[in-house]
Amino acid sequence: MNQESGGVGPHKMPRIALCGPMGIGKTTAVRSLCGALMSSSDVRNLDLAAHSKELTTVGTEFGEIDLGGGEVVQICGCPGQERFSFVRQWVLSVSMGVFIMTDVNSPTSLAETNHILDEIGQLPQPPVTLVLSARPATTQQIETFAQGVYSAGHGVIPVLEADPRDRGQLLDAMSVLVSMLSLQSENS
Amino acid sequence: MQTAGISAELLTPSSRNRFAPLYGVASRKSVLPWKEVPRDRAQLIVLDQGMADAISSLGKAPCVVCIGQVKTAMLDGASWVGRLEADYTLSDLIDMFDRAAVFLLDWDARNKVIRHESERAAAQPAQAARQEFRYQLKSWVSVGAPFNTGPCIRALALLSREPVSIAQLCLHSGLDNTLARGLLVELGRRGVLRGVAMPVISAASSPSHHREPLHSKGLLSRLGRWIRGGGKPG
Repeated sequence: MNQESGGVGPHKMPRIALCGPMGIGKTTAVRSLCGALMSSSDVRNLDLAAHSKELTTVGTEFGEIDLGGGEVVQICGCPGQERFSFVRQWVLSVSMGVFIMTDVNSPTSLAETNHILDEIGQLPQPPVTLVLSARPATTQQIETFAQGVYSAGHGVIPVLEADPRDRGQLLDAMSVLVSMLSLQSENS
Repeated sequence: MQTAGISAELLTPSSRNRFAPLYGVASRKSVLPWKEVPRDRAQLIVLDQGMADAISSLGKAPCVVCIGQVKTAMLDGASWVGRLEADYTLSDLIDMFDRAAVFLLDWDARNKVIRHESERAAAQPAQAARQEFRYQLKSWVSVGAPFNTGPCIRALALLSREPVSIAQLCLHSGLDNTLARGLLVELGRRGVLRGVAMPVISAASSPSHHREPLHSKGLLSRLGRWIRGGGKPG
């Protein structure tokens, strides 16, 4: 694995981050995209009050997209627990793109998403960001959520539906991110 | 708004000879389809100096496009004024129709265009052609058929980020020109599109001309190929 740490700029390791609360499906999404090319850091979940799942991720987990010719794009799943926010902030600072995964119907989802967007907004070179609605939602629910993000001062952020288990849907979301990166690159 | 009404009654014969064949194409390719209607029902009037000298009122049309140098106080009554050089091209005409269409579709766009157009007319008429029209989303929306496709979703995401031209929209989303314009019309109808006239910055005059792009073009193209290939190395 390439050891360069920076993910922004032409000579850095290209990196895409997945953020979101515990149990939203970040590890599943990394597996869907990268298959076996990943290192996980799952341990037994001791915070059953926050989420009932048996295992949870305590560090950043890395997957790799193999583009061929030795070139890779790193996919980083950030730990969902807020006590690991310093890890997330580092990953965000060295990523070219970010997917914030959320359940738009959860009562805490808007605040969690806006919190991450606040962190992204403070970076000197903010990565291109999209929100992934990782649970089924209606058009109305998605648009209401997007309006909440806008009202919090984060501008118009795309909110796409993508089941973390569905590789096809994640690839569609990736293609949206690549288009946005391409535009960003043209105007940089 | 399904179509927009235009009147070319206020063109002298020589102007009309040039306008008519180009209008036939431009009216179909613009963001909004345009239809010729009597002047009293038109939302856009096309005018040249010869006719400006011959009439006393433009009526109630909110938009006026002047062909060549037109000087008349009647323009003060219009909400939006566009100007075309006498030797305008098809592309110029489509661009002008697009500007008028977005003006008609969106009040916010309307105000911005008025400002830009009046500044442009007052400052440097010679630089008028060096502006282009760009579009931006005012809020995120989900779109139904026929726009719920990958390229259209990519286009929406691009529009969410910053004002983009139709050329940029097509280049980075993979949408073809016709669908891109159709999508803009749909967004305009839903009231979530704003338009801005912006100066064209040529690559040669841009200070960033020799800067390396933020992301390598090769990387993004290989990543795009990987995605289109279903997640297999290209």
